[in-house]
Amino acid sequence: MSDFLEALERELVAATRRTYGAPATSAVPSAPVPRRLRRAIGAARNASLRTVVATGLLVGVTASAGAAGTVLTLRGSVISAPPKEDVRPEQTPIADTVRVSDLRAADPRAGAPPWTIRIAKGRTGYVCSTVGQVQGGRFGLVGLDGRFRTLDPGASDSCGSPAAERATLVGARVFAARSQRGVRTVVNGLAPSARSVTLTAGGRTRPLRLDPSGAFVAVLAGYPEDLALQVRLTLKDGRVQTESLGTGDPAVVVDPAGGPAWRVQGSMLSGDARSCVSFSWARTAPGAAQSPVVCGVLRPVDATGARRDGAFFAVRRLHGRADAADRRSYARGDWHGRPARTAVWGQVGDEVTSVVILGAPGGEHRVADPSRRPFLAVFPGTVDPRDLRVRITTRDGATTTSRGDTNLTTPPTP
Amino acid sequence: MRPSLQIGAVALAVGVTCGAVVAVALPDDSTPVARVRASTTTTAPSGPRATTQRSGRAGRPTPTPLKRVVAVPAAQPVGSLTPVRPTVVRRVVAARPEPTRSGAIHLRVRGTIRVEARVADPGGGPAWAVRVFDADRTFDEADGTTRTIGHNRCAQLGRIHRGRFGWLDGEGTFRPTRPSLFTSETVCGSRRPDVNSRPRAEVLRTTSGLRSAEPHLAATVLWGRLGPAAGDVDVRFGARRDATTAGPDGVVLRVGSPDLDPRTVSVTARYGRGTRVEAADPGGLAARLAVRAADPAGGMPYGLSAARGSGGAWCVGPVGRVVDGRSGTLNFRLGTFTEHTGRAFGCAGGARDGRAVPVQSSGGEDLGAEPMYAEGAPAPGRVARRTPPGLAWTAGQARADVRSLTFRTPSDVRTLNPAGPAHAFLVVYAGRFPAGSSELVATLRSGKEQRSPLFLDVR
Repeated sequence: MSDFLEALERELVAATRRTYGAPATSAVPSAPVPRRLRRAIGAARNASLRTVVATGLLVGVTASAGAAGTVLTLRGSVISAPPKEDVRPEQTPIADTVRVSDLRAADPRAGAPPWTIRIAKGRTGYVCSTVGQVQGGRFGLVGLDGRFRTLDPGASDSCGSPAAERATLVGARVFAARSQRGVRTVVNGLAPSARSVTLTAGGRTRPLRLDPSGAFVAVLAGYPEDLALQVRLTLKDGRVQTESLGTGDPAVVVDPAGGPAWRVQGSMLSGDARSCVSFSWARTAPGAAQSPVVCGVLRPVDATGARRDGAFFAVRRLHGRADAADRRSYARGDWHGRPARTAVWGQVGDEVTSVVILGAPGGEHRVADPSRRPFLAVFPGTVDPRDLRVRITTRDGATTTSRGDTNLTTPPTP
Repeated sequence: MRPSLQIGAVALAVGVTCGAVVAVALPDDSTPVARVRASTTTTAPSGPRATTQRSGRAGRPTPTPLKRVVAVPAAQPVGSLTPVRPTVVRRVVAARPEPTRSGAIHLRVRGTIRVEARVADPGGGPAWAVRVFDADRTFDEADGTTRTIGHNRCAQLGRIHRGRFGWLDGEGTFRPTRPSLFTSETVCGSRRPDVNSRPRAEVLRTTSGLRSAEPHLAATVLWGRLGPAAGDVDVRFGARRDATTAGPDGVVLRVGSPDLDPRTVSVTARYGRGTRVEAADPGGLAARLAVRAADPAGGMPYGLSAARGSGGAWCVGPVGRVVDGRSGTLNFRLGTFTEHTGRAFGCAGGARDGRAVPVQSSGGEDLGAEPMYAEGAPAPGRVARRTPPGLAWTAGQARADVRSLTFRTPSDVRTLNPAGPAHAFLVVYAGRFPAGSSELVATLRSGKEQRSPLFLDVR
C-alpha cells in the first residue's frame, strides 16, 4: 500500500511539474478558457495512464465519501415517525404544535444529555408526549450506539384525552442499554390539575418539579420494578392520585441490594398433588439467576380441592453456578454466578393469614398477601439461613415457627 | 487553488449532492427490494423429476415414479392476481443446528428419504419439493435421556438448489435442511395407507425482502400428504381444480399467486367407502385488515383482521404482522406467512353481559401468544430508540356505543377510538410489564365510563 502511495505521489509531483513547466500549446485557445482550466487540461494531456487512473480513483473515493457522509447526516441523525398508516389519528401529534418543556432531569451518568418531555397537540384534540434528551438545543435520544439523533416532531410516545380530575398523561418509559447498569426509566407525565407530584423509588420519596403546563420528568437507573416505582399526585382540589408504575404485584419482590427485582411463580403438573415454587428475575434475560424448584403438598380441605391447607418452604443461601448435569434439570436451578442471596420461598394454604420471617436484618419481615400464593423473601447473601425462622399464623390464631427447609417433597419429573 | 484540489472539491461537491438526493428520494433500506424487483427472469416450469436421498449417508438414488404435479403459472388467468414474485438465492449458508433444549421433539429417520413431488418455481427460484420419510419422533427428557413418542411418516416441504434439498427464507438465504421439525415446514402423521383417515395439507405464503422497507408476499403454496390409499381426490387451488397427486404417498404440491384467496383452496379425499374428508382448512371467513399498529422497534407493523361471522356480526381474529395489507402469522425464521382468515377469537355481536369491551385479549413475545416466531424479526429502530426487549399488546373489539378507549399502563396513557365496522382496537407496547397496574377505561357516547383491569404480563 505504501509503495502505491509513493508511486502515486511521484506521479502527482511529476504531473504538477509538467503542468507548470510546460509551454502553452496552440491547440488550447488562450481565451475564453481560464488559465487554471488550461493548466488542468494541459496536465491531463501530459499525465500518464497511471496518473489518470489514480486521479479517477481519488475522485471516486472522495465523491463516494461525500455522498455517504451526506446520506448518514441527513438520514441517520433523525428518528423518524412511524408510517402514517400504522398510527391512528388519535395517536398522531401535529408537528407544528410540539413544545419541549424547560424541565431537565440529569442522567445518572455524568456527561450524558439531560432528559425532558416534549408536549404536542394531537390531530384529534388529544395531548401527546414524548420523552427524550436535549443536546445542543436539539430534542432527541442517545441510542444504544452512543449516537444522538433528533426525534421527528411527528413521533410521540402516547396521546391521551385531556383530563381535569386526574393526570392526563403519566408513565414510566424504559430505555434499554447494553448492560443492566445502563437501563433508564424516565418517569414522566402531564397533569395540569396537579398541585404537587412526588416520586417514590427504592424506598425513598422526593418531590418532582412541575412546569407551568403541569409536565414533570425524572430519570432513574434500572427498571420500574427494581425500584418499586410509585407516583403520587396531589390535585388542586386536594384529591390524591397514586400510580403504581413498579409495584402492585405481590409475586414481585425488590432485591435487597438494588439488583434486578425477583418474581416467584408456582406450578402444578396435571394429576400430581404436589405444588412447586421457584423464583428468578422478574424480567427474563439470558444468564438470569434461577432458584431451585421446591415442592410440597397442600392438603385439599373440600371435595373440589379448591381450598387447601398446609405450608412448605425452603430457607437457603443461593450462589455459584450449576454444573453441566444440573443444567439439564429444571428442578435444580442455576444461580449463574450472580451475587449470593439468602431466600425463603414456598407456598401456604388458604387458612394462613400471615407469614413473618424472623431473624432477618432490620427486624421482622412480613410477607405481603401470602394466602394460597407462592411467596418469596430475599435477603443479602451475608444472612445465614440458620438464623432465619418462619412464623406462620392461621385463621384460628394458631402460630407455628419453623427453621430451615420445611415440608418439602421431591419435585416431579415433567 | 491547485488543479488536484479543484478536482477534489468538485468530486466532494458532486458526492454530497448525490448523497442528498439519495437521502431524500429513496426509501430506507430499499436495496433488497430493488434487487428482487430487478431480477425478473423466470424459468418455465420444468417437468416433474424423481430423486431419492438416503438418510445418514450418500445413497444410491432409487428413482420413484411420480404422477403429474401442477405448478400454477405466474400468468394464471384468475382475475387480476399478482404473479408469483421472483425469488433468488442470494447466499447459501450451513444448515441450522437442531435445538438442544430439553422438551424439543426431534426426528430420527428410518430408511430412505424420497423426494415425491417436485415443481418448478413460477417465480424463477429454486424448484419446490416435498420429500417423504419414516421417522421416530423423539423427546429429550430433562434428565438427558431420549424417549420415543411416535413412529410416523413425515412429509417435508423444501426447495432444491443445485441438487440440495433445503429452504429459501424471506431474505434469499438458502440453507440445506435435515429431516426436522425446525428447519422447514414438516408434518408427521400415520404410516397407514389411509393415514387413519386424517390426511393433512397446508396452505402458506412465502415472502420476499423481509428485511427491506417493503416486504412482500411472494407465492401461495399448497402442500401435504394424503396417503397411498387416498381416493376420489379433489384439489382446488384458485381457478384450477384437479385430482393430481404425486408419488406413492399421495403428495399434493401447488405453487401460485400470493394473492390467491385462501377460501378458493381446498383438498379433500375419500378412504375406502368412508366419507370425504378435508385435508386443508385454510379458513372460511373473508377477513380484512381492521386496524394496524406500528412496531415500537421500527419493524413491520402489527395488525388485527376482522371478518363477518356466521350470524353477520363482526368478529376479530388473532393479532399478527401486516404484509401487503394482510394480517397473519409471520415466521421470520422461515419467511413464511399464514394469513389469519378462518379463525376468529371473538365476536362482539354475541355479547349480552353489558361489557363495553366484550372481546379483549393480551399477548406478546413472552406470553406465548401470537404473534409468535418473533425470533429474527427485524427491529431497525431498536438501536436508535433504545427499545427494551419484549413486546406486549392488547387487542379486541368494543361495543358500537363506545366513543373512546383509554389504556392506562405503567408505561403511558393512550386514548384510542375504536375503528371500522368491527369497532376493533390494537395497542402495542415495547418491553414488558412485570409489575405495576394497568386499566382499560371505556368512555361511552353517553359520557359514562366503564373500567376494567388490563393484564399485560404473566401474573
